[in-house]
Amino acid sequence: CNFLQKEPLGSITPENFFQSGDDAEAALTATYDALQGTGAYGQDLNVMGEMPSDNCTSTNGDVNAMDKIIWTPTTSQVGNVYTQGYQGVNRANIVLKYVPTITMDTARRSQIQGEARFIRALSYFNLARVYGGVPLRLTPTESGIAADVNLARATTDQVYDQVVADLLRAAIQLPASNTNRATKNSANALLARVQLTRRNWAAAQAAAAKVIASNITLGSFNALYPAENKGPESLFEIQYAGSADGGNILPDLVLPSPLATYSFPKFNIPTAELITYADTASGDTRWAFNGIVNAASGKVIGRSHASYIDGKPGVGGNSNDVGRFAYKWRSIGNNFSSTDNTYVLRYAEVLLAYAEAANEQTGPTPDVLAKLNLVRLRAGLTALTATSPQALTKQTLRNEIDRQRRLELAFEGERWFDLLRYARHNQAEAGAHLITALDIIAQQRNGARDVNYLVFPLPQSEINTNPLVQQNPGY
Amino acid sequence: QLLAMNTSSQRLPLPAVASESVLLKSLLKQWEQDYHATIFYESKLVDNKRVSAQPSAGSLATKLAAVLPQVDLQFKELRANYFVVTSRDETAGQRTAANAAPQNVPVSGRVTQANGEGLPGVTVLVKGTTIGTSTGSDGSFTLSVPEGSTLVFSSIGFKSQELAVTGATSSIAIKMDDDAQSLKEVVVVGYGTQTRQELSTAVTSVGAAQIARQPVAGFDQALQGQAPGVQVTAPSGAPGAGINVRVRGNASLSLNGSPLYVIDGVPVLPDYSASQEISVGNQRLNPLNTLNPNDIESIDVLKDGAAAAIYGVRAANGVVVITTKRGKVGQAQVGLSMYYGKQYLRKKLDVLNSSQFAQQYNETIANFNAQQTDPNNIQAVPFPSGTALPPYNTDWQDEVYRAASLQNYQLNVSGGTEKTRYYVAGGYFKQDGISQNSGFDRFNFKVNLEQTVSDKFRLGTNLNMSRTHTNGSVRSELALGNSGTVLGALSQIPTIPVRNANGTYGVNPFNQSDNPVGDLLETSNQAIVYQMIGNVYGEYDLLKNLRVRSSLGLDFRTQTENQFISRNYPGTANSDPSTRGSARTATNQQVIWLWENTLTYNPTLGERHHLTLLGGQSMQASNRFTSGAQTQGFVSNAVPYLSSGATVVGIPGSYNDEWALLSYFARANYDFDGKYLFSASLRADGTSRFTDKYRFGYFPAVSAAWRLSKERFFPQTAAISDLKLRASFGANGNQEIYAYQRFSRYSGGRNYQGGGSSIVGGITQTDIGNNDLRWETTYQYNGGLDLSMLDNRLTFTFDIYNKQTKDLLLAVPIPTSTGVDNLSVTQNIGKIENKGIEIGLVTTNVEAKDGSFGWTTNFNVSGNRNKVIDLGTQVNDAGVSAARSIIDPNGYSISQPGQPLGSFFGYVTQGIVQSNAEGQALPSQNGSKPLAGDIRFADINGDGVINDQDRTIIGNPNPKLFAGVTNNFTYKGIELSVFFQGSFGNDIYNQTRQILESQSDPLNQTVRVLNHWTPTNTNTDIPRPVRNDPNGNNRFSNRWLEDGSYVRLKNLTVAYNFPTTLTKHAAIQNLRLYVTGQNLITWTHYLGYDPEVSADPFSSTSFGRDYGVYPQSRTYTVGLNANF
Repeated sequence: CNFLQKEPLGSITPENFFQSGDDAEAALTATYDALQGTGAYGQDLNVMGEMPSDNCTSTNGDVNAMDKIIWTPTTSQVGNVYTQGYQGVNRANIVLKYVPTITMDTARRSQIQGEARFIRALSYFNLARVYGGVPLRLTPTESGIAADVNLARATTDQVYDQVVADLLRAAIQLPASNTNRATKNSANALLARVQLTRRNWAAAQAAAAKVIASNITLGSFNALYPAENKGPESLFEIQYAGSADGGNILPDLVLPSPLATYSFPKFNIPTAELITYADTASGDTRWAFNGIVNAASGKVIGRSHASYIDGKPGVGGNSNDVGRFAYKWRSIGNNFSSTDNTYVLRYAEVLLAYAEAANEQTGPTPDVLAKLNLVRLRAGLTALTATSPQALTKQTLRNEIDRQRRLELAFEGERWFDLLRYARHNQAEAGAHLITALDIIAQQRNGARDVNYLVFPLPQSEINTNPLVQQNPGY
Repeated sequence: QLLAMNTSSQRLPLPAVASESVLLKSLLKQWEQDYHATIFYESKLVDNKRVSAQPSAGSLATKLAAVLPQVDLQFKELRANYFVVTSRDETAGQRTAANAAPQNVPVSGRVTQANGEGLPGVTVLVKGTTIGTSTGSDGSFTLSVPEGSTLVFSSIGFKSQELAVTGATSSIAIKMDDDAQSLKEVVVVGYGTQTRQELSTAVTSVGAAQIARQPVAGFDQALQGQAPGVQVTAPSGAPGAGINVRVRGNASLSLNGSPLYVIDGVPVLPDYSASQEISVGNQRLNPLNTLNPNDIESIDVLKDGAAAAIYGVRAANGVVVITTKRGKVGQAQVGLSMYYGKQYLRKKLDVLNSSQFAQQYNETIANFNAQQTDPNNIQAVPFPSGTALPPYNTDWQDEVYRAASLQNYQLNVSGGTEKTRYYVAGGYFKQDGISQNSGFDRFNFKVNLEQTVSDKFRLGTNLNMSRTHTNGSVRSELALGNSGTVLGALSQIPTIPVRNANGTYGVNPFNQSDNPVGDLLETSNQAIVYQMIGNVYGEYDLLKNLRVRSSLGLDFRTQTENQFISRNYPGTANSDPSTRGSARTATNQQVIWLWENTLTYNPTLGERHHLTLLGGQSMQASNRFTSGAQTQGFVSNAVPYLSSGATVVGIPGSYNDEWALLSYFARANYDFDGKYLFSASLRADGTSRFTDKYRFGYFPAVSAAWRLSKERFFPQTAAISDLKLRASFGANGNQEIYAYQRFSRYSGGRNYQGGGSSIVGGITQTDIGNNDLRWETTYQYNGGLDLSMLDNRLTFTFDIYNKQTKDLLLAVPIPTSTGVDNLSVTQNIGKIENKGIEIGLVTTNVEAKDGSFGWTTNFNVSGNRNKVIDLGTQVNDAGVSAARSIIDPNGYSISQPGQPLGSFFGYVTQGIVQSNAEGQALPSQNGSKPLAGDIRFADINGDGVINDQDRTIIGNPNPKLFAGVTNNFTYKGIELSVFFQGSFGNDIYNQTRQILESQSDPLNQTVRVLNHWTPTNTNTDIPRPVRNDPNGNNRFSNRWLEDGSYVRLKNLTVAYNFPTTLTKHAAIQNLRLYVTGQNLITWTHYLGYDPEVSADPFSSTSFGRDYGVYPQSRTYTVGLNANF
């Protein structure tokens, strides 16, 4: 009876979608959108990458489990990162299933698939380094029946293999330039990071070399922030348009009030140890001069530097806003919807990855030092030479590269993953890195070097709904 | 209509019977039915007389004139459709005896019901004559009668009375007693009516007087405590807020649990969750407030499955049938009713004053500092030691709450002729809230018209139109840090001023939490709803016993909300000035049309068989359009609308949805001699919500009743005047999933910045559909007993029921790794059971005779037991597939097989740790050992750690019993009505107290915390104060559960009816003045504002929580009712 036929008016059904190139673009846009959310780069991925590490601390209860390494399968970040990571995967899978069937410009169609592969690779890479081997789903979920939705875990290597395969293919399909979106350099830079994580030094060096071959020049460090597609150094960043599209919540969570809209215990407070660690380097413009928040005007005085500011010096009262705060987001008073973009991949990291991968294979060489010096010189440090104490041996140079990674990338969401990497490296080669995630775990957990905390637990929601998965050991 | 008088047993010899003659008695009865008229006669006059030659056409008067003279009778038409038959001889005899004729004298007076209210339409006759009249709408009458005659007062449903008139009088006061009162009461059962004695199902009726007595915005609130099995809670004191009504428990876990309301034949299913687009601080609108309670004639609650089944797929939560007032034949009656009242905060919670707070908070910090090993974490003591008191001592409750007025005015005009009857009313109701900047008002307009076009054809309309305005600026159910104003008034610290010297709002210096007064005054949220519910109908008599009715109904509402948050709003005091000030607008328009056609057949099967057949068809469809937008950055507060904002926030949105129902139904009611009663019905509902496979649901019902008291063997004494046993079964449905829930859907709004700075629209899959969905089905079995005793001075109703609901429409979670936006698929899984008993008792303790003292009692009590039977399976935390239990997202309640819905789920406390050494031996809590003064929690699973796994069921929010009792006392014109209502055995999660006794944050606390643990005050249940609560003392545990039982003097009314003799001089027929107190006294152990509370009132799985809920008020009103 027609009277009872009511089709959804506000939604699209699968039957009438994927008819044109426009539909393909819309589905791809939604795939990028999965990277924006609070479970991804909007908040939790960054919190997960920094809060457990030696870079950050906080008294905020929302990040307490991350800070103190007492996370459980029901900790919010554990659930959110997983949920949003798989949203990226599923949306990419939708694009990869349906876009090839659409009649449209073939070059654009290929590029769209490349972009989707890049996002799928980025999502799976983050899932694998957070949780270990996860269910490897390469087709969209289209029914609710158990046989379709329940999937067992793959091994970590299987997931990484898929990530590498996707990135290699994406590097072919992606264009050299693509404003605000994934490019060949994005794919290769991510590939370098993936191979570094797997300690495939040659492959990491090769991928980094492809990016370095595009002759990018480094500009002022301070000008990198806020990330707003400034210059060629940005290889991939998450776009935030502010309140018109939800915006970036993180700046309001890490900055003092003012700049942030509200006062509450902030996330990602720089540790005293980090500040001391940085201050030992002379002339490091990344850390040498602190901006000061003028309590009266609510503006930051002095912006010739980047990494942190002093909140409301000399003003008593609200301890939430007094002290030192990460300053790689520079939005002010925006009600949790900042326009600040978030870096995922930038050129300095590729240089450091190249240097690390090359050093692991050959020890100090002029090539390694040349790449490392690009980062040092831009930071206001001197160039290292073969006789510099840091460049004497593979080990001293490794320590220096670790140090530069930490100072260069602090608060950008990579520190804990580097420390995890170092922990695994030390398991294979004792003493390779001065500090690893296991040292932090021991500090926080009464001296116990509990290797189970080198991966996060799968969220309880997955355990309770998917009978085929097993929880990580120790949770 | 047989007058029960002079029924002498004297028998006359049978007259010769003409072959074609008929029994006059039968003929008159037939005509009463045919003409919907009332014909009065004395039985001895008509007796066994027979008449012949009746005209086949013409008015009733013509026919009577043709037949009555055949047997020496005559008639008089008292008024339209009221006839009285008398002997021709008597009047002739009076005339012949003119010389001895007594003089006519004027008499007047008033006829009232047992409760003292005027009784209209009573026939007043001089015995043995046609001299007579009928009473007006207030029960008064005037008549000129022969001296020394006897007046006979009679009316349907009441016992007739006689009164000898000795001379002129104006003070006749007659109180009519119900004649088997409730038995002949008409019950509206959906697509028809039955008398109570014909009922074989469980239906409770609530009359106009009970509804109109209470000074509340909506009839749903006035239903509280009036009907067994109907649980009504006003979850919030916010004016105009939604009321929670549950008939026989929660029959669904996730769907709308509201009963279906049928307002003058138009089904309305209120959906509180979607009734407001902008829910500032959880202020919920109530669509049922469209009706003025004063316009309601009766409310019939169809409780058992058999009674409700005629409404099929929407009947699983019971059906509430509302009938509005109709015009009555007679002169136009003008009624005025008005009241004015004041509302007050019922009680204040005792919180700390500023010196107490300063001392307490210093202690909180000191205990925190004592635990720190890192000197960087040591915090300064906030209030410098010394004797200087903090400069302010603000009582925030005094600042936020106020005495608020309540007023109601209603004017109605009703009346009619033989052809046309009308009821027209207009009203205005206004309730200011006891919290600043809150309130509700309503204009409503009502027209009911009935027009007899011809003998066979009638037309009519019932229309209700209203404009309601809710000022919902109060932010309830929110913490102070989220601008909650109710919790703000309790927990904002007293040491800061409402306003600083420079005019800005005082802000908590410790956590920057804002100012509840500022939050209230700098926010405006106005919701305006225009609503029209009504229908037009036509009825045509195809045959004498076959009637067709067609009705076109409409439920239309359009809602506009405008919210404005001013630049001075304390919550944005720290924001960039250019972003301050924001406005939101949302509109919602819904048109639900309805077309129904029914055929009713009453075949004549002889005197003892009564059969009514009903068949019908119904079509209903809804179209709803919603839109909303928000802007911010207002340069000025002058204009609170979108266009004054500088930037758009988010994407302005709109959506549209539709649903439709196509239904067929049939019902047969049969009784044999009023002794054996049977009813069977079937409804087939086709719905747009499901696929063709499950499009039509079939909902059958059967019921039977046996009136033992009609049996020959049953002793026919006054001790038991009526005894009926009932049994019924019925199937009902619930289909209230989202209109498009079954579809797999892709949605937009997944946007991202494109190549430039512009935002590009993104679309992706959001929901996985399920084409196998069908309605939830409830099978309900009911057994009942109706008993009338002591000449109907005691009536007793008992019901026992068992409701089994299966195929619950549940969101079944799918693995997160599927990556779908909505990580659940709706499926039909699970079972819930409700069973219970209900008792209703109405007694006349002292019968009022001629204005003397009278006392009646109306008592009801109900107990419902709710139990989850099955929710499917899931993998438990140990990795084993087991019965699924659902912890509510709120985290404090669980739905688990074998337990009631919404059971409280949390930790168990075991007193307070008295020393650090004792704490070292205990399981670690929050990763460390508890210290002296911390709460000790039970290690339920015995693993040596207190964590999520140690939560267990610790309470039940469902009451064991709920009850209401009304006592009415009358003496002459004075009435006293006392209504108590209560709930017993339910637990409340007092989350407000969890804030007010947290002792961990810079928030004000109740005075109870002054008794906290210290090394010298160890005999207490309140732990030590410590900043940030490192031990998790404040986690959800039985510490926060309280017994929610209460008894409340809900309503006390004292009224005075002025004697007609007085009011007549002012051209007033009837004048009643009264004073009412509402929520006067509450007996409870509950520590919060009010035990009648729920922060999630419309949830079936997480109710009974108190968290900054708008408090209920105590109300005093004075009012008057007058008829002209």
